[in-house]
Amino acid sequence: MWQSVEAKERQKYENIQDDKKQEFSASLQEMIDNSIGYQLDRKKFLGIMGAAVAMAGMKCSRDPVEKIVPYLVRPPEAQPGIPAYYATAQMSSRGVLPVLVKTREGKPIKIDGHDDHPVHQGAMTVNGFAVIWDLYDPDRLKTSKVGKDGKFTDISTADAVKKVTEIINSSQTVRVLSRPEYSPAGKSVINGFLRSKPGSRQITYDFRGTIQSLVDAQKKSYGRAIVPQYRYDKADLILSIECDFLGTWISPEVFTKQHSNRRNPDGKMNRLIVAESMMSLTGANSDDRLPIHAGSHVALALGLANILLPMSQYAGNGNILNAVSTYTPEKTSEITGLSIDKIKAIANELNQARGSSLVLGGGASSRSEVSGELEVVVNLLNSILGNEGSTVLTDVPMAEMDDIADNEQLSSLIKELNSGNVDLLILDRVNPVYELPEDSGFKEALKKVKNVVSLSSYMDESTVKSNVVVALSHFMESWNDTYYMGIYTVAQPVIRKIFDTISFGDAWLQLQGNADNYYQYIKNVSAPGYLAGNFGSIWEKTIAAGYYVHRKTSGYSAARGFNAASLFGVGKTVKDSSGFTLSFYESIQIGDGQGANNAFRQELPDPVTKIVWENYAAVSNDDAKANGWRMGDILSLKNGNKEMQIPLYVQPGIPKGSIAIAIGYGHEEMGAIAKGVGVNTNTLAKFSNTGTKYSGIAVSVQKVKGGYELATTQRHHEMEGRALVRYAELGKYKQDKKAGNHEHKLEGKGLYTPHNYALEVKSDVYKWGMSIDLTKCTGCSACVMSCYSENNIAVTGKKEVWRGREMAWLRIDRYYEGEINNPSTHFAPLPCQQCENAPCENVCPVGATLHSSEGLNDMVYNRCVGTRYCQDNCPYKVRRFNWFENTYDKIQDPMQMSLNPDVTVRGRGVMEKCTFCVQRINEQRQMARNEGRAVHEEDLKTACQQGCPANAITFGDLGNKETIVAQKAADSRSYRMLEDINVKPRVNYLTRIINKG
Amino acid sequence: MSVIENVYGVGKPSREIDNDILRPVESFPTKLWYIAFGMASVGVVMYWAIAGYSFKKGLGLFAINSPVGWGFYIINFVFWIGIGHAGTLISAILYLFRQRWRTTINRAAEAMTIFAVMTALTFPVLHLGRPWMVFFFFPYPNERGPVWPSFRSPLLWDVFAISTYFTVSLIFWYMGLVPDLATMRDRLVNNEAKTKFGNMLLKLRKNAVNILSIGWVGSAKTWIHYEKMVLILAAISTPLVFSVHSIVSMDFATAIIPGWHATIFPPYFVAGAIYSGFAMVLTIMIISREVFQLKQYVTLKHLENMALVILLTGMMVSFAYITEFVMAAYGGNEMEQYVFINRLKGPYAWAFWTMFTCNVVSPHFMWFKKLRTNIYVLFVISIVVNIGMWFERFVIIVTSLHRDYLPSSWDLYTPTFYDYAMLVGSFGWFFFWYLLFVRALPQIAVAELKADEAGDKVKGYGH
Repeated sequence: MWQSVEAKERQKYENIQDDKKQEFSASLQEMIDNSIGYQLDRKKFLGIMGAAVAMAGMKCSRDPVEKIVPYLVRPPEAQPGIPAYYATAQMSSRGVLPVLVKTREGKPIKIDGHDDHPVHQGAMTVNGFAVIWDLYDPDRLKTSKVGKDGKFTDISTADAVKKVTEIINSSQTVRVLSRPEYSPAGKSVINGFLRSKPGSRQITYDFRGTIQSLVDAQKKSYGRAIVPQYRYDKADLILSIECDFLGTWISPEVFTKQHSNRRNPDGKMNRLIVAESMMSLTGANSDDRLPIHAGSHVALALGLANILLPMSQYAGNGNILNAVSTYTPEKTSEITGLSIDKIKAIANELNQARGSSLVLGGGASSRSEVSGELEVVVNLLNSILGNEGSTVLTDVPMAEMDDIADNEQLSSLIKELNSGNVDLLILDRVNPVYELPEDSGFKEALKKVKNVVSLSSYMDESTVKSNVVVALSHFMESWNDTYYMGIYTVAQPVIRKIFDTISFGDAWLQLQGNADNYYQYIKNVSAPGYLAGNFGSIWEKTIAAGYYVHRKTSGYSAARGFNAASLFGVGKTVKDSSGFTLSFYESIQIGDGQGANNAFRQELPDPVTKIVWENYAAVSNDDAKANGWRMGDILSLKNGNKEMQIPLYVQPGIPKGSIAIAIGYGHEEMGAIAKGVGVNTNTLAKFSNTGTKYSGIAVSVQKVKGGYELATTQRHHEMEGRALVRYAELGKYKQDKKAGNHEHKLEGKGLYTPHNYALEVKSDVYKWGMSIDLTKCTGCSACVMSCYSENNIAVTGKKEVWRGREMAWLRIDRYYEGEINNPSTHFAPLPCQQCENAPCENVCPVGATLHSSEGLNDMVYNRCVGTRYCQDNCPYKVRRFNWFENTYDKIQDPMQMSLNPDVTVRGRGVMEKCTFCVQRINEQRQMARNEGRAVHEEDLKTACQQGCPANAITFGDLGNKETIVAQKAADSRSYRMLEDINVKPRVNYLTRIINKG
Repeated sequence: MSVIENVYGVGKPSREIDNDILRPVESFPTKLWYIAFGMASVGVVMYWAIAGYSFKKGLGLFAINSPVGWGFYIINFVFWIGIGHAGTLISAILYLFRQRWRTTINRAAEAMTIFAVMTALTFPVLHLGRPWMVFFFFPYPNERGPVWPSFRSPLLWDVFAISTYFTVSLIFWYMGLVPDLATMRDRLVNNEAKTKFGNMLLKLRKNAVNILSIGWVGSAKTWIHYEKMVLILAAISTPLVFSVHSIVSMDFATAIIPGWHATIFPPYFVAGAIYSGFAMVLTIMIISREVFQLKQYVTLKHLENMALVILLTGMMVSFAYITEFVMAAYGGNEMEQYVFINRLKGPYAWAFWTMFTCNVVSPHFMWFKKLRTNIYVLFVISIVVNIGMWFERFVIIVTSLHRDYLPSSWDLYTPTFYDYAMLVGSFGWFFFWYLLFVRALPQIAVAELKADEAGDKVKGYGH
């Protein structure tokens, strides 16, 4: 059904009208032969072919057609109703995420993981799915603007670029403020600009500090600013200090994938220990969680180093000894709040796992006054433990980030701005007014600059303070390239620009007077450095495939030598504060706040707290009790003369005296969604020359008048002794394969006779079922986002969620268990269980929900009158009712383009629920029928399954004993939720196994 | 044949009885009536305005959510259906049991039934997500396949049960009215109004009564046929008294939600319905006999009898409550047990204890003759019982739904302004009709009363 488009094009030019077979096998075979050393399966084939379609449209050899004309004569490659997939890559300050974009009739409608990508292997994040709505965000800049003092008039982007060029020509001193760049072409295009404009300088900063502190520490400890490859799949024991690598740290999707490979109780299962001052996703997934006081993380790392040092090759190093010697177990215990025994036990465990352990540290909640402080000690620990070269690989680093400015450079920039000597400041995709701490004085300094130009997609806090705003395109509208984790990617656009915007690469090229467009630039300047061999064919194949393996070695040998001097100054900032200490963390849904104007991100429940549309001060239960605070009180946090007021949330697992708040909220500008949601933490963040302090900020806390309603999707946090999430310790599981899963099944009798599928037989009968491995599931919620995107699920807003009316078809239940100060956390994704004895079916008076011949519980929207009886009678409460008109009344142009045409958009007054992605089932069944075969298990994936970076979800035919899902259903760990009420769900869960060591 | 003294006898000539009972129908309304009717009309306007607004905007106006998919609407529905129970019970079952005291209260009780069912019926329609699709409920040959409703759903059983009940009640009520309508017709013949407009209205009324009395002549033969028909209708109605609320209870009993899934529900609901129905009749009769000077017709003895029915059904309801708790404890199902513990001390414990006080404690005052013959005590208890019965439905629906199987989906239910307004408005809607009724038709079955009186004179009471 697929035709090669190059072939089509060639046919057109060479006027070959016949012999189609030969023509399209020729190029296909060529592709297969040259495919980059990986087996070509169907998925990849689709990827390549889809990309090829895009390429045909994007080829530079074609005349640039600027007008859109209707298809009077349909091009043969454009099949209405058949999706085309394009490989591209999404870039954020967090890193690079290779994706496949699914388009229908020219419109991108869904983003999927890139399954064939050698590193990512299809891993996705919440953010990866959510960018589809950024593309269609009505608040995105629709054209460029010029203005002053917040008053803007629209001008065309071409004019805006001209205007900026004029300003550049008339300026002496030009400064460019930009964000970490993973694109070689992007880097060199800005460098080109700097070369073309004498007197210009670029400062790149990392708002969240993750990369900045990591590379700062790498520079100090080992000499070069690289991001090493941390190999979670090679580590038997992982110790993470304040590092949320499963949620927000660098590339959580890759780390989740690697980590989940080792969450296999039948194989060699790894063990994860997390020490943290807030409750992160990683902490929630840990086998052992150590709550430590906010800001005491460096002390813990030093304390461990102190114990481990004598047993290592660095034992004789006096400098190291000096740095760690004060951190005796006693002192460490005092600062961190952990018991001495616990600290010793962890050190002992690490020592036992020499060479196969992995120590991690970093992330927003560990940023201290000295940038990279924790990371330096973590480097030391990894060196001491001999992990360098085994679990910390540096031969091909994840990225080399030598251009990230430290705080000293930033503050000298601010000084420079303040002096009034800067004629022009160009803000390249950054929002420093929002992102830099208030006490950095950037906001005031900005006023002294003669001209500010902003390259931005939104009218954000910094953009409104600029003179010229150049509207930038979304990444799905622009060419780009990336080099990340040894993979070179040419990221292609998948849709023509929706608004009058320009891609950032083109903008920079035009500003330096380069006549090339960015596509040509990438092809001629950037790509040749990475693509070897016959450039012409490799280039096209790279675009199509979405990746090219280019292992640029760093020149490092297996294990690097640790530079003891890097420990200078480390640990000085650790104070034993007796009051409240505050730390900021990055939330999974909003991250650094760049995507805050996206209702889907805002409405995604925080994987741990389940709160939406808000950030809040998470405090410990003890503190709340001691001070008489209750959920919904408003706290005033004061540090010096700085104050912020924020609603309180009592979070189990937070140590006494610590408060944690998410960054990325509290936008004052940007758009209708982001504005006024939450509180900006930068009021209290501390900026200094050595680093930005996000962690361990001493605050005085007071309850202020007023109350606040936090909207959450889960209000009860305990299982009430019901065996909903079943779990067992690894040791017990090794002895008894049914450990934790001994609840006996009750075989009950139903009121009605069971479904007789034999009566409805067609040639291909499937029994669809799902299996969810709770040992692998991290609760990261990527599946939920994927489901939202696939099934046109509406967002409802904070008030409605507060009322209990969120529309998520798939939710992730999170339960705490054990001690409230350090509970164990369990996650259970809950799609519709597609019960065999579905209680919802009998009670519907109009027969709007029915059992299909394949065992699905189908929902007939047209027939539904909305009695909500089915919802009442659903023991899992997975049904969602449209209380208001959720889509038609609320959708704004061009948001409708993100809707999946294969899924009905539900109107007001009807019930909806998970369908097991019945549209995908139907598509695959039909394809299989056309080809006279059964549906292949690997072809058919539900959106949640596809979105899961941990491979926790399996879907397929339970009727066929060969399928993976059937085997999992028969596993000794398999159980069904609420099986004793005899509803016979088609979803089974695999007992969670916890490795207690 | 024993001769029993008619303790309910009035001892007045027929003419005077006619005058007494038809006075509100034949005279101009009082100020009090106008005030009451005005208030009820405000309620009606509010009721339908909100209904219209929710029709346009969606059910999101109300507090219902997931997991509490049913809220005030269904509570009100069950409440009003329950109120509607006393009428048929009095007119059919008490008729068959030859309970003589029913004579003076059955008309009002039946009217109350009709209006209560009319009120109740609005709720299931308005609570639909797409009320304009309500015709999907009815099994009729159609062009959509044909697609039939699902006969497994208790909601569909409701449709049949309630529509049957309403039809039969209406016929029964109307048939009982025919001799009285004829009386009205005969008394109107010579009436003249002072103004032209008045005459026009009078003509209209004369015609209406003329038509509605379907040529009643009051001959002995007519009476023989009439008595037979009433007997047959009573026999038809009797099972309906039990079926309607049994089926309504199955909305809950057949569901799998802990707190709903209970076999005791049908008898429990029927007892509760009679309980609340009698309480409502009591409330209305206490007001009517005062306002319309009917004390010699609706005597303390009548009220006392009703109080005893309330005591009996109140104890039946209490027994059902206890049974539920015992079954939960004995059944050993942790989900079921949790629901009942949650009722006692969960977030809606106040609702449970309100219900408990009103329904279980308050009827026991009726053991004392002094109390049950005290108008004020009776009036207060009759209202308290109905508050309790409304809360009973609240407890059953909301507390069971808000915490069911998975603690992750547990939530609270916080009624909005619209919820309360619809509850208040439904009373407006009910009293709107009831107030029209007392102005248009005799509140006491005049013909039956006269027959009883006549029987006394001839040979005392006894059939």
